Amino acid sequence: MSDVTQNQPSGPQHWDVKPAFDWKTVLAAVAAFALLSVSAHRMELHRLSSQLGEFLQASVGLKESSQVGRGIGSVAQQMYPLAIAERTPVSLIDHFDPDDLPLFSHLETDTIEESALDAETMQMTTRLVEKTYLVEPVGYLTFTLGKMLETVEMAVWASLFAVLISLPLAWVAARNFTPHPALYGLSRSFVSFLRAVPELISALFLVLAFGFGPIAGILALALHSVGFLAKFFAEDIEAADKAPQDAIRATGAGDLAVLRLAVLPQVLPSYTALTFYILDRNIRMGTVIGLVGAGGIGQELKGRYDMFQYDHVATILLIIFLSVLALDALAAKLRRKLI
Amino acid sequence: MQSFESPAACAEPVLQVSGACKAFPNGPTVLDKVSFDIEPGSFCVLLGASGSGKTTLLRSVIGLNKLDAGSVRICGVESSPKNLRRIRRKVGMVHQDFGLSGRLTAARNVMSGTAPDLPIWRLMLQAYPEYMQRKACSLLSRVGLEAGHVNRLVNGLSGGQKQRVGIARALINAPKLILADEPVASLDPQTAQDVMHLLRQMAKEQGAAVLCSLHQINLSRTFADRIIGLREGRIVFDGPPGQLSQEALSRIFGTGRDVFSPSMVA
Ligand SMILES: Nc1ncnc2c1ncn2[C@@H]1O[C@H](COP(=O)(O)OP(=O)(O)O)[C@@H](O)[C@H]1O
Ligand SMILES: [Mg+2]
Repeated sequence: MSDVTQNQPSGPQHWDVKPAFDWKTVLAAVAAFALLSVSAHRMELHRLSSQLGEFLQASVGLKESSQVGRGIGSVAQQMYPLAIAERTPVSLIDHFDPDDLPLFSHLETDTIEESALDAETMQMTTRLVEKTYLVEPVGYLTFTLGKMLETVEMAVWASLFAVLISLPLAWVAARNFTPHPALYGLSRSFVSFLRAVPELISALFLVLAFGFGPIAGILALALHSVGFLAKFFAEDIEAADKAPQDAIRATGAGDLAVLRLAVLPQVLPSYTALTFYILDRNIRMGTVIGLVGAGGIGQELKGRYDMFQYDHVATILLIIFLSVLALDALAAKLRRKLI
Repeated sequence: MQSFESPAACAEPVLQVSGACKAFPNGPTVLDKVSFDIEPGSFCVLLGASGSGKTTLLRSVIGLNKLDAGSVRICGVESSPKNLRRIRRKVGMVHQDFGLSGRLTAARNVMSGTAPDLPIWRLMLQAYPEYMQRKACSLLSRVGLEAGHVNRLVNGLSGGQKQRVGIARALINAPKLILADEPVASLDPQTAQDVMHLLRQMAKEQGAAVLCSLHQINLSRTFADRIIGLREGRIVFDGPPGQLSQEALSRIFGTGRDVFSPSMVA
């Protein structure tokens, strides 16, 4: 009798429940901590903590001033008030016609001191000159909004191109549908390469190739987006439920029919969500790549920043922020409708 | 038993399986020298317990599994990679898990059975010709669905309705042979009766032979002209339902018929 019980699996009082973590987990945690400590030193994070501490002390009045506070303060002061109006010296406008002013605009005349070198006496003289300005009360605001629209258009085109390229690419890059294993490997590496190159870097080179402006921006955004979309489109195809695919295949249909009838209906919600994500991302990245001259609002931002016109910078930043918010709400609404 | 009304019926057996063997990589043998013929217009039930190899056998017939040895002939044509797609067009399959696209409508799922005969642009645009839409609707009504179901997404249908859509899809290409893999496995007893009845009736009308796998003894007795008993990949019984004795049942299912008895669990 006792022999039998020994050979049989022991009762539930002897069963083991695996603990949530063991010594391996603890070891991994210690190693991660050590790695982070080394990295923190390389990143000079000790400086971050002392500077933040100083800033906090200064902001509650325990300290006279802090470096961070001074930096933020001086920029913030120059940002206010925002630049809304456009004030252009009339002398800089080609074919200026005072009888035909743009809508809502008016002329202002200032008297300013102008120094000039007197050619006869070789002395600097100062005299008063009258200068006329064309003032458009919301001129800069509308100009910036136009630039933002340009960025959004860039993002839409880039996303559209990316989806159109990614769909066939995903077919080749899906292990279970690729026409040839070699093509699979090739397309996967190509897609990884596209994803590995950041937009800002490719934009630098594309600006050299295609010149300043939106074309370089659209291409830079589209290339990176293909690297993202094709990968996830392909992985959705690979993960799709096999039962409907087998059913279509069993009718005698080919790969293309299986993709259209059994795979596409399954992956469509995910494809829509991914496309919305990439559009959202392209709008945000579109503002950044403008910094290297690839069109849109970023190009304007970079120009104003370099000229220390922080009031204009503030207007641009506010518009970017509000646009991203508004587009987010719009995208959420569209997504609810489509999915 | 044979339906001579059907002009499409071929003279030779619609299905000839001979010496079919199959083992999955590092698994036990799933099919072991399985051989049988199916005559035109007959209703043959493949009876066996879970895991006896029914699904593997049916999938091998239509080439979704590759056999290790043996051959499959459909209407006298041997199945080979080259003519696989041609052979598949003669066969309609009803799948155990329905195999429907849940996010397509009932009608589109039925029409998807005609995919190999359509030009690719029609497929891509899902623009089926008018006569095909008529055919799908009449089939849907024949399997007991109503006008309101036609444009409903399959996800929104009940299990019994899904299986009816599956049957309609299997029938749309006027197959000579219908393979049905446990077509009533997930249905309640009454619906199961109805669906089996429908399957038998539709096959008779179209002059198609049926090879239907089941694990329910009563349903097999009621609907089959012929029962093939499968156990661990081997044919252990082949004959009309009248010959399905207690002894034959124990050959198919083992001695303890009740699957919940301790002998089956151990
Ligand atoms: N793709 C597969 N890989 C490995 N083993 C499989 C696979 N499909 C089925 N089997 C095995 O083959 C045996 C028979 O399965 P199946 O044909 O599905 O039986 P049934 O349909 O009669 O329940 C089972 O033991 C199952 O585990
Ligand atoms: Mg099965």
